[in-house]
Amino acid sequence: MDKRFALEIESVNIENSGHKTFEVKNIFDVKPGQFFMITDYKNGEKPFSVSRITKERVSFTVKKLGSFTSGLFDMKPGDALYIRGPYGNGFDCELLAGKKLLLVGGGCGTGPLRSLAEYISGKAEINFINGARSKEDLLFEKGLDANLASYSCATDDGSAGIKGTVIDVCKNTVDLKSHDYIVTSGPEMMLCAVRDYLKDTGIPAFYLIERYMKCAVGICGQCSVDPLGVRVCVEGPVFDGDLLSRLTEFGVYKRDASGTCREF
Amino acid sequence: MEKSKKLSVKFLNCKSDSPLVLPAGIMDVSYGSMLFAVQNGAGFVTMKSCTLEPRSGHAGPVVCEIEGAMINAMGLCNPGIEKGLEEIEKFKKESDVPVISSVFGANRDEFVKLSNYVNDSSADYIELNLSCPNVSSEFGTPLSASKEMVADIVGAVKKNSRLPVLAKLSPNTHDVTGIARAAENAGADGLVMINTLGPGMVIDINARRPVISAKFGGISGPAVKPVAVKLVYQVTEAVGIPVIGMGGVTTGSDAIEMIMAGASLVGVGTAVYYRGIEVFNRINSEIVEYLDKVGLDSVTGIKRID
Ligand SMILES: Cc1cc2nc3c(=O)[nH]c(=O)nc-3n(C[C@H](O)[C@H](O)[C@H](O)COP(=O)(O)OP(=O)(O)OC[C@H]3O[C@@H](n4cnc5c(N)ncnc54)[C@H](O)[C@@H]3O)c2cc1C
Ligand SMILES: Cc1cc2nc3c(=O)[nH]c(=O)nc-3n(C[C@H](O)[C@H](O)[C@H](O)COP(=O)(O)O)c2cc1C
Repeated sequence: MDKRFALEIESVNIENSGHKTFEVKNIFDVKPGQFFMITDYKNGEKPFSVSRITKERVSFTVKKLGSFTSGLFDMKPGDALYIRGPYGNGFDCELLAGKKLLLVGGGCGTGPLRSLAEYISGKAEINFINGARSKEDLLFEKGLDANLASYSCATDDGSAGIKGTVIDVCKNTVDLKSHDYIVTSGPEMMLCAVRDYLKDTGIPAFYLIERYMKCAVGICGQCSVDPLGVRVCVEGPVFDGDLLSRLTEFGVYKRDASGTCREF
Repeated sequence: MEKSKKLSVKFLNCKSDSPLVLPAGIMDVSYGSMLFAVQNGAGFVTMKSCTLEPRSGHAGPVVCEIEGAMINAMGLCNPGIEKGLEEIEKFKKESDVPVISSVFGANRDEFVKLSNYVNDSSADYIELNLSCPNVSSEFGTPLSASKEMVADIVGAVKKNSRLPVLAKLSPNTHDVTGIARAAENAGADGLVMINTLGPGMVIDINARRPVISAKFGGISGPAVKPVAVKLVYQVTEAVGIPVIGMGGVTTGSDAIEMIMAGASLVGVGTAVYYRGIEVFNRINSEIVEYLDKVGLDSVTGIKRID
């Protein structure tokens, strides 16, 4: 049975001016790519991916946007959050183990990739690309708790790493085709750019996508993606490239809280 | 999946290959999600109840699971009737499965306006949601609590409607049979029941707060089934129009029980949570297994008990 757990915030880590990472006790059976529904009983209930999983703790890295995330940013260690989950399919860590991987993250989409890298660290060859608007927006600059074969970053203004996008980093990756899988998470327009770039390479890829979420248990239909109707909360949030190519809504529109289609 | 011919049914003007209905509010905000239910064995689909204007619905939490049941107060989120009907058009391009267009109005005039929109669409039925329990702070007691109101609205819609009119009834009144009769007398072609039970309330004892943001929510899922079965049984004794029975149906046996109570079609909603989207195909096969066991060659051979 799905239960909401009252968990105290164990620590709050300021990543940069727009992002904070919150840690709570790990009482869950959770894997990277899955997400939780979190409420404060004041500003709604919202989905957040895990950005780190240790035996003791689970982390969420949150971008400040509207009322819920602003309320969360005011919270301190010891304050309670009410959490249900984990939900969604998560990454297929068994499949990815032993493989050569390229993880491509943008914005707070880098969070779930951090949890993946740390989770399979030592079991796969992990190359990591991190993208953001500027150095100030880049997440996890202090490094990941994982063995990375390589790490590179891209910023729009060139204040860290190369000046450009994660795609520019991909273009400069000499042996792109030697990777077994690409795993990517971030703003949908970035995911589209990755998809388009990979089109001719034949490299299989996994994409973590977001849609407006309400029940998170697959009954309300709010996060279904056209035309297949697959639910981000059950069949997702991680979709492989083949399935994604049949989701014609991807990169074109998404539904808001009323179900109205909003173009990107 | 190829369905057994034994599951073929006719409901009013339409035929389908399964008696299972995707009810209003379950996986049906978009044409894609309705197609997903059909892909997985649903014989009829209902589009989320639409209002004249779009509604974002209540803030979360909007659902809460309890032992044997689910409580929800989505708050009638929907893209508005015009956009909602576009979803039905897109659905119809891909599938010939019959579609029920559910609408919710604050009063008779709104229901009539809504039904005029539905008249011009490819929907096969119009369903009047007279029974949403989750917006009463805004709209007052659900309309199906009053015989006069039900008769007034059904009658007014019926006058204009090119499509069969189904009235969706609430279990939360003392005289469901009287209300069902009032709907029939006003011209309803069929009934859909039950909408969610209650509403109920769950308190998070750690937070000292109601779990559901709207405080109260309608109850669905296995625990409400005995209430649904009883009301469908009583209503089908009292009226001659067909009833789509729903409320807690989770297995083939539950569906057969609902048919034995008098239902012509069976809605499967919250069970999508318990048994996955495959639930429609699974219940279809379970019904066929039963038919084979008792030697019936059609689901329509299962008769209402006395
Ligand atoms: C599977 C999944 C995983 C996510 N993981 C993270 C994460 O790790 N870190 C993070 O910062 N954010 C994550 N998000 C997005 C996060 O849920 C929204 O940023 C948050 O809901 C914003 O709420 P708000 O009240 O602060 O802002 P609002 O002002 O309400 O909304 C701002 C924007 O956030 C998005 N949003 C709002 N409500 C929802 C909702 N119920 N479901 C989905 N998106 C919504 C919309 O795009 C909206 O335009 C994830 C979303 C999904 C679907
Ligand atoms: C999340 C959710 C949303 C619902 N939304 C609607 C709705 O918009 N209109 C309506 O008439 N009934 C709505 N219902 C009620 C269902 O259509 C159905 O009558 C009820 O859930 C009982 O069936 P079940 O136990 O199989 O779910 C909703 C139910 C749930 C659980």
